[in-house]
Amino acid sequence: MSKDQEAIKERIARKRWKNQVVRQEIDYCPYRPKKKGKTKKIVSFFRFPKKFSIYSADEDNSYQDTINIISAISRCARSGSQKAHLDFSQTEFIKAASILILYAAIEQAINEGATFKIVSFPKNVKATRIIKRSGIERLCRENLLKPDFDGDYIPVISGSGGDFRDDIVDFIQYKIYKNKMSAYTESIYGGAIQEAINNVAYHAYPNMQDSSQKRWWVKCDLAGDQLFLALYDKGVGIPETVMKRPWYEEILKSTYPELKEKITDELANEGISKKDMIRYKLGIISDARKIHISMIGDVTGTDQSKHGQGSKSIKALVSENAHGTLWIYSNNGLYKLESGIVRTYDLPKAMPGTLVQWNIKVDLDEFKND
Amino acid sequence: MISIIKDFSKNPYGRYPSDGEWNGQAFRTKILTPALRSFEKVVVDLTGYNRYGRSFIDEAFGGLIREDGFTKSELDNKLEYVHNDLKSFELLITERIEKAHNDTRNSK
Repeated sequence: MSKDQEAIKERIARKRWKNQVVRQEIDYCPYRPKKKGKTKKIVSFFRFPKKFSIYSADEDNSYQDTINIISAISRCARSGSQKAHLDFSQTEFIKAASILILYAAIEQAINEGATFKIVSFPKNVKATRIIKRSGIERLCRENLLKPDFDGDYIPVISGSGGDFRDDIVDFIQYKIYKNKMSAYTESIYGGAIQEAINNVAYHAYPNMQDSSQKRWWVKCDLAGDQLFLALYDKGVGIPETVMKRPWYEEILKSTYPELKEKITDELANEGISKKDMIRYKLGIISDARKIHISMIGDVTGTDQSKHGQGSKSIKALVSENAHGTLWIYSNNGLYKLESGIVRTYDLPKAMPGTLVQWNIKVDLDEFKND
Repeated sequence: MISIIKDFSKNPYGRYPSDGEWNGQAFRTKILTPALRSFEKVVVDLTGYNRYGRSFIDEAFGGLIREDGFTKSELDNKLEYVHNDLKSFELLITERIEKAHNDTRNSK
């Protein structure tokens, strides 16, 4: 081997070693789309995890797995993949909330030019039923799904502004409550749905002018005697909105007085000037607590005191129902209201947008008792 | 007497025109405020619709004080509101008028 050849070999080996050192810390998402080849058609393949759910963020990795695959699907059209195959063959456990978020991601990717095909359903009958009832299969096949309120169940409803607000309450009233809903219960459902939808228009997409672009998705299901009702948007998230409001510190003081004191002391110890403190406090409070602050009455993410009606109506639906639970996932926080008690949790991975979910026990005898 | 479902809309919704045609601001500016300026006594009948949002109610009634310059005592004398099936909406209107009154007073 000549000296020149040895030098070339050494140079290649050195370059390869440097490249290896640089890349060894890089963590790749398992669902990233395949690289574009010259001859092959690009098809991204998404294999769904065994547990496709967002409920046990503090117990196992299922929350992260679920958010990872949904985020990858959201990105797939933008990253060059025009065609995607969805494989649920390994999935044994699916919850409706994760299906709702998945539906929104697929619809968004379709609007950006991607097409989807479900290549395999779960072996578990219940999990397959949840997918089929959500309308995802039809959405993948037809690329557009018109809401149908005439059946015994409704697929995910996709809308903007005040679309379908009365249809959703009608469905709950006639199909779930079998037309035995009292006027009072109707007012509570009507108020909660109207205000939750309203909040999307007012707060979720602050940089969007066109109301029709401010999308939301609703899922409504009856499981046993439990009504599951969820509204999802892909906006900036409640913590992002709440941070920009002038009343934020006042509410922080009244809601978490001990926390405010602690933060002020810590910042003072670190030599932060009083002028800069507010900016620091905004960043230090966890997202979950920011959601809690936004849910305090007569305050929401708009800067006038007349707002805040949404949070009252949203809470009323579970406050009026002894077995009701309210969940709000937004960015890195989870807010949970159950039996009048608020709990907040930090999420290990950010939820893209906001999910408001009510679980309510349906009392069909309520009409008689009213 | 103003009946919301007969004189305005069968399904009013939202606070501002951006929420749709039948919003709280439209009801206040096109129907309620002109009526209050023209008559000694105005009765608003909300019966027939059970799904009013708080935003609609707040903008339609609280807005009378915040935006249109009425005082609480004027409204106490001139305005009545009734929902034959749901007293909760009457209480809500009272609450929103009270809140608008307090906010306006505090900001002065």
